[in-house]
Amino acid sequence: MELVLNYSLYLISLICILVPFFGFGISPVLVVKGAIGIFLGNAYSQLVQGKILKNFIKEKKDSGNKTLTSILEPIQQKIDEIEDPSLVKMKKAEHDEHSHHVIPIPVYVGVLLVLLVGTAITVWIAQFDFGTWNTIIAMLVATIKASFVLGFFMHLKYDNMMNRVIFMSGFFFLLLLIAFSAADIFTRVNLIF
Amino acid sequence: MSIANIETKHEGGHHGFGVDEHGHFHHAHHFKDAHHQYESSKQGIWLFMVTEILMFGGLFVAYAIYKSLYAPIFHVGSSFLDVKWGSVNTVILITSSFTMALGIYYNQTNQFQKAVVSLALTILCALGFMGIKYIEYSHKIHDGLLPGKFFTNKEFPKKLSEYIKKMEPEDLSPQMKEIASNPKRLEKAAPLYFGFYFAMTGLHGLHVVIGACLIFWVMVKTHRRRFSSEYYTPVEGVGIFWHIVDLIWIYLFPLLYLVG
Repeated sequence: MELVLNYSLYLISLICILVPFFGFGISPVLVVKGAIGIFLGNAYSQLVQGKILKNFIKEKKDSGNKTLTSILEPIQQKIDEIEDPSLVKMKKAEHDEHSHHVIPIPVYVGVLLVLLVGTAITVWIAQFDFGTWNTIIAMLVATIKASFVLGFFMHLKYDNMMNRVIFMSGFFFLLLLIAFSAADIFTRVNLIF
Repeated sequence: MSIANIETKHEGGHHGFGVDEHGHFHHAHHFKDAHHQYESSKQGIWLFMVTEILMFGGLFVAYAIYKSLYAPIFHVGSSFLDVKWGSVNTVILITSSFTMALGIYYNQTNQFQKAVVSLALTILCALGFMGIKYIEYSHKIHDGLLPGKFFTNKEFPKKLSEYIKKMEPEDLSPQMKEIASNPKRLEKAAPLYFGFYFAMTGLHGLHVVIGACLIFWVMVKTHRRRFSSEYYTPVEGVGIFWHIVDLIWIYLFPLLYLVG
């Protein structure tokens, strides 16, 4: 969140640059809405990340203004929680941080059954001809099976965010490979379907 | 913390970390605690899994492109495979994934005898998978269904030209049309499918063999009580590797055997 301030400034300058290209005539409402949103974001980040609110509360507390501090302090607490969700999570996770999550056997049995049924469905449905839908249906069933393997057998459902993001990044780069290869083949080679 | 302190803290294992005779784990000195070591090791495994996805991903993308260009070759090619063996292998591999997950579970709950049995069953499944692969491969080799210049099957080009004749001309890609008009070029293009078949199932089979060896390694370590509920990272890592092998087969099976 500490980057909100910087990014909102980038966005303002980006809009300043883009306005001459797109003109106000295309969607002035969008430009105004965006500007207001960015202004609010910037104000929020200055207030919170610049610690203006915190310092203000501290000042009032020192001078003994009780009514104002009683209103503002809960707000500051809420903002702190939003700013750093790990604070709340850490409190929750503290007691089970050192014991690993153990998935009970019935869950594994359930996943096994899902996978076997999925295999049966793939084999059964391949007997019928749906044209180009053949591949799509088969890949859909395979992806459902794969997500069960990933989530339960590989414990990704109970893993931390970092490992999930790492694994998904692989698929992101695979998507890039597919996208650029497809863009090349289908624009350069004359294909008819 | 002084060096003497660190030395006394890590008595178990040769590398400064491991499970002592009471089943308690001592982490390596460059980690904050046992949990930190576990998370770091697992993150490394996941990074390795990304490279696996990218390696097989390249083959899948090549498959997709060539299938869109020369769809009839893939259709006729997959008709030469036995769906029965493919399905049996899928069930075997899914079952082995289940027993592998059980192997991790029993290590997590300190039931080592059961863990060894589960891991042994997983290896048995891997051997079964490779046995069926052997039957399939020897059948293909016998019929001359091999990639490139080793392709000697006479039935394949006949079946291919028959299939193309049955198709509507507008369903064929320009590349396929060009080949279909010339029997010599058709014969030369026929091995395309089995290039993909052997490259993809071969690389996957290599993973099965390596995975089986790794499972044997953690099975022996489990038998020697080197793991406990506090430390089972190698089992977890090998498990993740084994599941990715299963995961790839889940996609390979319909692509090679069923989608034609």
